Amino acid sequence: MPQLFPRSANTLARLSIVLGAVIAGGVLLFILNFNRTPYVTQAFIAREQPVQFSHKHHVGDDGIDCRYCHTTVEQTASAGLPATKTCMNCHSQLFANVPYLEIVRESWRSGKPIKWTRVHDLPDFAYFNHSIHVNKGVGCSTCHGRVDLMPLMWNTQSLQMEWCLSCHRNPEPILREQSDITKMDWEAPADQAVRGRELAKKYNIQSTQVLTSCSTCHR
Amino acid sequence: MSKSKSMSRVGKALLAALTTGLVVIGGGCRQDMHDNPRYEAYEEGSHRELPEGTVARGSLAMNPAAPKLDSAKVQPAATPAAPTPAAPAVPGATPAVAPPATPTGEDGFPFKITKQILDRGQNRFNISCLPCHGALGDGNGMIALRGIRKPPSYHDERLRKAPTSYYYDVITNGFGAMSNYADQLTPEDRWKVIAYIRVLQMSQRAEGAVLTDEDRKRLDEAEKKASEHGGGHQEGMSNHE
Ligand code: HEC
Ligand code: HEC
Ligand code: HEC
Ligand code: HEC
Ligand code: HEC
Ligand code: HEC
Repeated sequence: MPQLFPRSANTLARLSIVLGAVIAGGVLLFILNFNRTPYVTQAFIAREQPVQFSHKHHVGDDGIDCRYCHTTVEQTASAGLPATKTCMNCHSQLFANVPYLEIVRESWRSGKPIKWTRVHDLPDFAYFNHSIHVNKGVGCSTCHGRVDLMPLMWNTQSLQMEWCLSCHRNPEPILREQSDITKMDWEAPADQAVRGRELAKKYNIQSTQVLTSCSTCHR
Repeated sequence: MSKSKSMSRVGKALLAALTTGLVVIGGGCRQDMHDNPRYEAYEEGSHRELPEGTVARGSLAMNPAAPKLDSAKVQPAATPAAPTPAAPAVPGATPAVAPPATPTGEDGFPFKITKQILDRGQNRFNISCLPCHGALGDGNGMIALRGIRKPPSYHDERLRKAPTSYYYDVITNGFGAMSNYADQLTPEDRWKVIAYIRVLQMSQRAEGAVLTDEDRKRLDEAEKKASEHGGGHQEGMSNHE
């Protein structure tokens, strides 16, 4: 019986092993990176809202502090979204008749809250708490970016576990003074290496072991 | 022998089918784990009304309308023991005028005024009141400039003379075109804001002659800075040029 395969088939067979490994690796890499793209994480994608509420106008142009509306951010896990009454503090007089605020006025009349589209929403098996971060010198803009420049809200981070961990391993470079927490244009000063260490001591930041242990966030 | 062998083949097939099924079902479970049947803030169904006739914990003790407020415990507005408050218009400057003697009772505070309390008061004032009343309390806040009714200046004779309990009432129940701030400020913080308003009122009437040289230098600098920025919002806010 003549040989079915020519000699070169040996090379092909060896090559296909290598090629197979390369392709499998490539697919794996693609999946890993694909899961980090904004297509999956929805980062940098502005969400439509029932009312065209603009942080750019209210925070950037009018200088209203975050805590005027997100009142519980320093005390509780949730930052809190403003009640319709908070909008009416100003909009019972300002733009009191414009059509694009009708949803706000309707909510005020009926007592039914406005249904905002959630932008940040961690899965329920992860535990997050605003108050500890805000009280230990992690500012809003470190996690939420330049909110004062956003006409509609988007998230600037993947919100994936690796993002939380990358900071929990070493928060010193981003720690700031308590008085700067809501400052949007905060940038680390030149001597942040020294300051960060001092602040970490002042805030009593816990060890890396504690901050990266699974039960800190999965409880 | 041969019978049990064929059984095990069926068993193997069953096992394979079961495993495949589990993998498929397990893969589909992911989103359920993301959204557990547990109430979180802002999930459907997590909203609860305050039952009728109840009061949030801690909100009664600080309320002057509460029946049990012990008037003996009410501190005078500015006790001699209170440290001289920092003049806020010029951060860090200390007004050397003696605080005006104020009667106790309805014009008092439920706690002794300390530097910490004034700092907290300034912080909350800048968050909750500054947008309309302005950093100095003169009614020239950013929002007032955008067209709501202009609030009166805290430095008007009438408001300077108004007792602290009047301010508490305005914050808690609103006044005219101003809605109430009961949701946005805890009772304790309301008193601290009022303490800071008293400081603002004092700072605007401090006589130049009693200021130290250092204070006056700071004042000049602050004035220069304020005129450069058009006097809009002040430090402590998210500022954007
Ligand atoms: C005038 C009220 C107001 C102020 C001031 C304000 N916000 Fe908001 N914020 C809202 C409202 C209303 C929403 C919900 C609509 C939306 O997502 O745009 C919101 C949503 C958000 C969200 C997204 C919530 C989600 O669904 O995940 C973030 C993050 C946020 N705000 C951060 C900030 C920060 C940081 C500041 C201060 C720099 C700030 N906000 C100031 C009213 C306000
Ligand atoms: C402290 C006062 C204040 C509060 C509270 C407030 N607004 Fe406004 N709002 C303004 C001002 C001032 C403008 C005009 C903005 C500008 O042109 O700079 C405005 C403008 C708007 C506009 C017009 C579009 C735009 O951005 O110019 C919308 C919509 C709006 N606000 C929605 C809301 C909603 C919803 C809330 C409640 C979450 C709210 N506002 C709370 C002061 C306020
Ligand atoms: C350490 C990062 C971090 C910091 C600092 C931070 N946030 Fe958030 N924020 C988050 C995450 C993560 C979520 C999503 C929480 C969830 O889904 O449970 C979120 C959600 C929110 C929401 C939506 C409502 C809620 O609580 O779920 C608002 C509003 C908000 N943040 C405002 C703020 C403001 C204002 C500040 C500054 C005072 C701030 N955040 C600081 C990470 C942060
Ligand atoms: C930019 C930095 C930063 C990011 C991003 C961040 N954290 Fe933190 N986190 C901190 C700091 C700083 C502390 C305070 C540590 C301490 O108390 O010693 C903290 C504390 C915590 C705590 C409380 C720990 C305890 O038991 O006392 C939890 C829970 C937590 N973070 C969860 C998260 C989660 C979940 C995320 C991602 C969604 C996240 N954090 C993202 C900096 C960060
Ligand atoms: C700093 C907080 C934090 C710590 C510490 C942490 N996680 Fe997570 N973990 C998260 C967050 C946030 C998510 C949700 C990520 C997402 O939505 O993509 C998550 C998701 C997961 C998931 C699900 C992944 C998925 O794609 O659904 C697993 C599994 C997990 N974590 C395991 C662990 C283990 C094991 C440890 C300890 C070695 C750990 N985590 C420590 C914050 C944390
Ligand atoms: C949204 C704008 C706005 C905010 C924020 C605001 N006010 Fe006012 N305030 C007003 C207006 C407008 C008036 C004038 C009301 C009138 O005369 O009908 C007023 C009046 C007052 C008065 C005088 C009442 C009188 O007898 O004339 C006091 C006192 C007062 N406000 C205190 C506060 C305090 C304290 C805060 C912060 C917790 C605050 N306000 C926040 C708009 C505001």
